[in-house]
Amino acid sequence: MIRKLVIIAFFSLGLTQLSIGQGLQNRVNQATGAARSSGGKQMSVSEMRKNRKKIPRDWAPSMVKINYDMVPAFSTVFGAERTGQGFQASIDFDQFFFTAEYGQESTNRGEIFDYSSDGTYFSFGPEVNFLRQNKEGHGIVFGLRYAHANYSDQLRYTRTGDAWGDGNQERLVTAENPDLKANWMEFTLGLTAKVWKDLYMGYTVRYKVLRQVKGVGEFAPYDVAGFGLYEDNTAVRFNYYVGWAIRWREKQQLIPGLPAVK
Amino acid sequence: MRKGLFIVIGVWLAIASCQEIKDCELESSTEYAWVYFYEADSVEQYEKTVAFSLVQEESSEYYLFSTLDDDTVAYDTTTYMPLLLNGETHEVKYLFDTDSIQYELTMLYEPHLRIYYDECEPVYSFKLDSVYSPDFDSVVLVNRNVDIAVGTNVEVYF
Repeated sequence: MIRKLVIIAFFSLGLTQLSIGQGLQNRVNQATGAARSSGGKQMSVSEMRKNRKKIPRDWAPSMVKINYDMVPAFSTVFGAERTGQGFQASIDFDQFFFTAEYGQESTNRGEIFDYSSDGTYFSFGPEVNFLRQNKEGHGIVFGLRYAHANYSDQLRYTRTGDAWGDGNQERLVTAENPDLKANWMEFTLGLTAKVWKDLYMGYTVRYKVLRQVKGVGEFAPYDVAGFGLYEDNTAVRFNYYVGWAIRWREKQQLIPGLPAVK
Repeated sequence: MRKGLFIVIGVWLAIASCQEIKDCELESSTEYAWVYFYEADSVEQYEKTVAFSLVQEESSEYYLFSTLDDDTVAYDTTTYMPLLLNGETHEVKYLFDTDSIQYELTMLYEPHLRIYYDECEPVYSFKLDSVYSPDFDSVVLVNRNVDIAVGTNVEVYF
């Protein structure tokens, strides 16, 4: 029941974010410079692209966004299986971000066995913001990241009816992987919006591929910290971030003489 | 807004529908290798019906068949046997006793303990590395995977 409520809550947050995103959508043409440079007239896509190229670049960073991942926080409070924390930081370069993430994740699973894993993960990589000309830090972003996790896991269970040894006795089986290292790549698609002063909210959907795990012994891990299930080569994860932007300068007015996008 | 709502609901339904349905019965790993017996002195491959008095693993108390155990009667005369592998070791040596001769068959393998699903008991999965015998005319490893879908793992000719 609690799990369903959490899902409904996320769904509602997603709709709220969508609404903010629709507001942003109205600014996309402004942000890309299309509507302004045409002077309000209709223009072809090729003309719009040419005009976009005329927009000067502003490569100097203007802010760092520090985000807290609400999804593992909800899991920690309401869930029984998964606990953890996740943080993300992004710094802007023109219409791009460099984003790094760090997190900790523990799992406890099993009804007829006792499986636990614990470890940390990090990821980093570039993101491109499709809202090019905006100084507020709104974003519809696509990114590519490299991710790595260090973790360990343990399994304990009682094996019954085993043919080996005395078949009538129960046998305690224990296994562990003390030093697991995992690598994978992530494609991210996200939406972030400034909701109040320098408070930002947004979500990221990430598709994880090319998962590799080293250090596996005779016991196959069940979880991969920060990734998902070991048996899956790909995974999808949803993150909802709440964060604050630390600014040290105003983003350059990209097209002189025109008002900034707000 | 309505279009966006449909998109969001569509994405959620797509993600939900991708959830794999799991059932412990669908786990395909088994803990025994299928051994089939064939005539050695034949151009064609003919199955051989065998009748051992005892089939047991050397280092343990486990036996597959014994003339003294009525519960194992299914293998008193047979052309194939499921030989159990031990997840705690990398090798099993089976002894096939007749009234006059003892045959020996050794299987080397890699055990892997894995959890199929939260609600299922962990299982061992095995991959055979090699098989040999000093007594049978020849033994052939035909499939390394020990799986419910695999018909034969080892062919024994004698």
